[in-house]
Amino acid sequence: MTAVHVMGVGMTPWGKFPDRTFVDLGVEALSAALGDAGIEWREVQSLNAASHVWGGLPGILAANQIVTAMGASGIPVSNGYNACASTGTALYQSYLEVISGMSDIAVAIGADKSPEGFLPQVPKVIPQPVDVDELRWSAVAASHPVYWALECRRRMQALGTTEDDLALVKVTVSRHGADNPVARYRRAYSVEDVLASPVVADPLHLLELCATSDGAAAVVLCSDRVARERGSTGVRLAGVGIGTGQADDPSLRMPYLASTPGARGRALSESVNSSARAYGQAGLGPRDIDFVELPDNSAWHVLAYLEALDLCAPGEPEQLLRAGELGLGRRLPICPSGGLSSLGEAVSAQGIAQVYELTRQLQGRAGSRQVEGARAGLGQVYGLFGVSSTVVAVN
Amino acid sequence: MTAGAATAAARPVAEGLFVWPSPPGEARLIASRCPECQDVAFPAVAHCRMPACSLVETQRTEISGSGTVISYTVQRYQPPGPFGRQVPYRPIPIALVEFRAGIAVLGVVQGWDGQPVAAGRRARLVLAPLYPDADGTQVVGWGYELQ
Repeated sequence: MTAVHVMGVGMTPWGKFPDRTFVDLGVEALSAALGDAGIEWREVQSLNAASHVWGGLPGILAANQIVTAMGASGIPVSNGYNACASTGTALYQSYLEVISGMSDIAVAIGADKSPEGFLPQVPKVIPQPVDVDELRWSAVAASHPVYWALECRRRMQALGTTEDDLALVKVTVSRHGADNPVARYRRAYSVEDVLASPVVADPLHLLELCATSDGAAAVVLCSDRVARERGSTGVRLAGVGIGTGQADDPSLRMPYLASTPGARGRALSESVNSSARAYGQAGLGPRDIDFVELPDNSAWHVLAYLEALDLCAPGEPEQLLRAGELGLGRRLPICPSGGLSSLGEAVSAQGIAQVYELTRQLQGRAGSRQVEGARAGLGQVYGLFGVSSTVVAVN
Repeated sequence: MTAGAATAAARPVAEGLFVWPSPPGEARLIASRCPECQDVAFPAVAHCRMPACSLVETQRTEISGSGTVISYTVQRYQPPGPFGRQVPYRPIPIALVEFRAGIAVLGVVQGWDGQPVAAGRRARLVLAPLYPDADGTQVVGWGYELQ
C-alpha cells in the first residue's frame, strides 16, 4: 500500500470577490497547486470537489465545472456536500483513490462564494415533512451564532470561562492571521478591541465570530511511485477521517431544535469520531501533534474543540490560553494560518485551505508564522447536522 | 401572552409540532419516546435515534408545563427568514429549557425584560404569536414565559 503524498498545494487569497465566479477562483487555486506540484493539468488522473451549494446545479456539480474550465479530459470526478466538512469528503475520496492504487495523481478542491451575513437555509424544491433547518429559522430565529452562544454560555457556567478568555482567543488567532498573506483580516486585535465590537449573540461579539468569505484551495495528492519519480513536497497525509454525530451526545447540534443534556456520550461526537479515525490511520496520538488548524467558527469553538480532539483535558484550554501557550512558539500553536477567524468561512473550501497551511508549515515555508520544528499537524472542519472531517499531515 | 385558540387569522408555524388548536394557556409539544430506551425526541421521530434501538417504532409523548433554563442568548442582528422581516427589528431572546423528560428545547422568551436570564430559572412552555404572515395571518409557535 502506498503512502499518500502531498505533491502540491494552492489557494487564492480569501475575501469578497463580487466580480469573480467560484469556477474562476477554483481554477486559480488549482493552477497554483499544479504549479507547486510541477505538473500539467493533463497529468491529473482524478478530481474530487466540494459542492458549492449556493450556486444551484452548476455549483453542486463544481467538479464538472472546474474540469471543463481546465480542459475536459474525461477524468473521473465526484462532487460532495458534507456541510462545512465538505472539503473533507473531497479529500477523503482523493486519499482513498491514491492509497488504493485507483489514481496516481488525484486532486481535491474546494471553491466557494458565500452569501452576505448569516448563512441562510439552502433553498429546496421538494418540501420535507419535518425540516429542522427550516424550523430553526421559522420557529426560533436560531442563526449559527445562536447555537454557538448557547453552548458557550453552558461552558462558562461549567468551567468558569470568562468574557476575557473569549476575547483572548481572538487576540491569539488574529496575531497569527496578521502574518498570513492570503488571510482576509490581517489586523492583530487587543482584548479591548474585541470586547468593544458589537454583541451578535450574547456572549459572543462580532470579532469572536468568523465572517463568511469567498475563496478556493486545492491539493494534488500522489502515490509513492509518482513522488519518487517526480518529487513531492515531503509532506504526507498520514490520516483522513470522517465522523458523524452520535445519538448519545449531549451537545445542542445545529440545526436541531432540541438536545439531551444528560446524555452520557461525548460532546461534539462527530469531531471526536473523525479525529479518532485520523489519529488511528496515522498511528499518532494527540501528543504527537505540533500545531492544529481548528474549526474556529467562534471563540467558543477553539476552547471546545481542543477538548474534542483530545489535545486538552476539560478546562485545560482556558489555562493554556491565559498562559499564552496557544500562540506561535509556545506549547500548542492554534490556527497558525489565522484560522476561519482571519480567513472567514468559505464552507466548501476551508478544509483544503487547512491542508494548504499544514503543508506550508510542514515544509518549513510558512515564513514569519512558522511553527519551528513541526513534524505533525492536524486540521479539522465540521458542519451542521453533525459531520466532521479531520486530516493529520506529517513530514 | 398566549395564543392557544384557533381563529381564522392564526396558523401554527408547522403541522405536527404542538397540539393545535389548544385551549388558552395550554401548550403541549408533540414529541416521541422510544418504548425500549425511553429516549425522547422533538420534533417527534418515527424510529428511535439510538443505534441499539435501530428502527424501533417510537410512541407519542407530549412536553408541557415548566422546565429549567440551562442556557440563553439573544439574536441581536436580523436573521434570515421571517423573524428578520419584522420592522423595526427587536433583538430576540432565545432560551434552552430542559424538561423533566430529559430533553432540552429551544424557544423564544416571551415578554423579555432585557435582563440576562440566569441558568436555573424556571420557564413555562406557552404558545405565542411569532410574527404575521405575508397575508396578515398570525403565525403561532411555542415559547417560554420566565417564572
